[in-house]
Amino acid sequence: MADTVHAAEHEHGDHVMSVKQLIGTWAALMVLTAATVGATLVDFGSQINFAIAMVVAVAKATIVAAIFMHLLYDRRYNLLIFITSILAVFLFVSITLNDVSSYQDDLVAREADAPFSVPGLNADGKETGVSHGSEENHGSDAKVHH
Amino acid sequence: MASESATAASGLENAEAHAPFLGHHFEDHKHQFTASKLGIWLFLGQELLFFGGLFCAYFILRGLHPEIFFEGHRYLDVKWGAINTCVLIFSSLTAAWSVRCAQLNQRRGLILTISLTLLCAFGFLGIKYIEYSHKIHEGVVWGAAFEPTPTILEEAHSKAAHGSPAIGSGDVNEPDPRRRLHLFFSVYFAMTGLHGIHVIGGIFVYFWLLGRAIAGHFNSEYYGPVDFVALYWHLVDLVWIFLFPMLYLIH
Repeated sequence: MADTVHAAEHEHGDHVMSVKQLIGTWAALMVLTAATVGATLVDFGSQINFAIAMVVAVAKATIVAAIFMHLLYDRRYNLLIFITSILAVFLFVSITLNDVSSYQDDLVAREADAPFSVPGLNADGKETGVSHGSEENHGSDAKVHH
Repeated sequence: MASESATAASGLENAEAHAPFLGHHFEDHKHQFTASKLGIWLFLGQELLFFGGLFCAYFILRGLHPEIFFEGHRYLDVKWGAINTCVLIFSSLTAAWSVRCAQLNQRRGLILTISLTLLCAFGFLGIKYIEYSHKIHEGVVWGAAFEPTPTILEEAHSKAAHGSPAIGSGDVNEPDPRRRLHLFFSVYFAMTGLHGIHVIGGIFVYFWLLGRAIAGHFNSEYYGPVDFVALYWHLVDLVWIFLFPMLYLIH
């Protein structure tokens, strides 16, 4: 068996995962899944809980990418493409969040002026009188409050 | 692809020309493999950007209105989300194992691992169907159609006892999460829906791969497609690894 593994590695110069490595990776992912579910049962404050969930998710994603997707053994070129895409998503999300937060004061003022509700959210399940349309109409006057 | 008669007609071809799945524009299998792998990674990179738009929407909404996410996650069943996470992680294991089988010329193992991956994919969709149909039946959908039935409201609010303040506590300064709850479900259905479409796509590709595995197309020289489909499948798993805590595990 060891010879066959070696032969296949030799042919492509590509990594062949051992059964031990496959099962070990899977086990690590299962443990982290249990950990992330378990962490929600403990109250660390919503910010910390969210941070823990995201850190565990990043750890799991790294394991999948490095071992199952064999980026650890692969040509660095493929890793470069992957990392570049992640950076592009980061850039996209962070710039958009930055943009959104810089308009928040305007939006909050506008909302306070014209609260809207969604159909079906009254206690009796009936639609409320205020529609989405009226919210939009008020929205166009937002500059007046500025 | 070099045909049998072409190789027989000329004695000048090197040994690689006998390979039925080696493109004539590639020097050898290694050349073909690395070029194709670069292609699949470029595709996966654009898949990340594709999902990136929805992740962006998620973070904007969550940043602005954390309360609707806190409220909304009560309508989701962590049990089903966790089971589906396990199903996908197991399918990632079988997908990675199928690459090993192909690399080692284990045809039966290859067929078995591909079949198991397919089984998991159907299992995932089955659970997603249970979740979706329950929500749609109870009026928990996106946009203006959002009209939860009293049954699901009670169900969701019974979870509120678990270490969290009751909704609509009467404080006027606190935004009532129910006003914009439909946004949570827009995000939920858009993200899990796009992910589900990828699972369905994976099922089609894995059936194609299963057919080729049964036909005995793959060996230690030529196993590129098994590897590339597995890479795609791992990416689908990777997206779910983020979706699960982002939608189901909100504290």
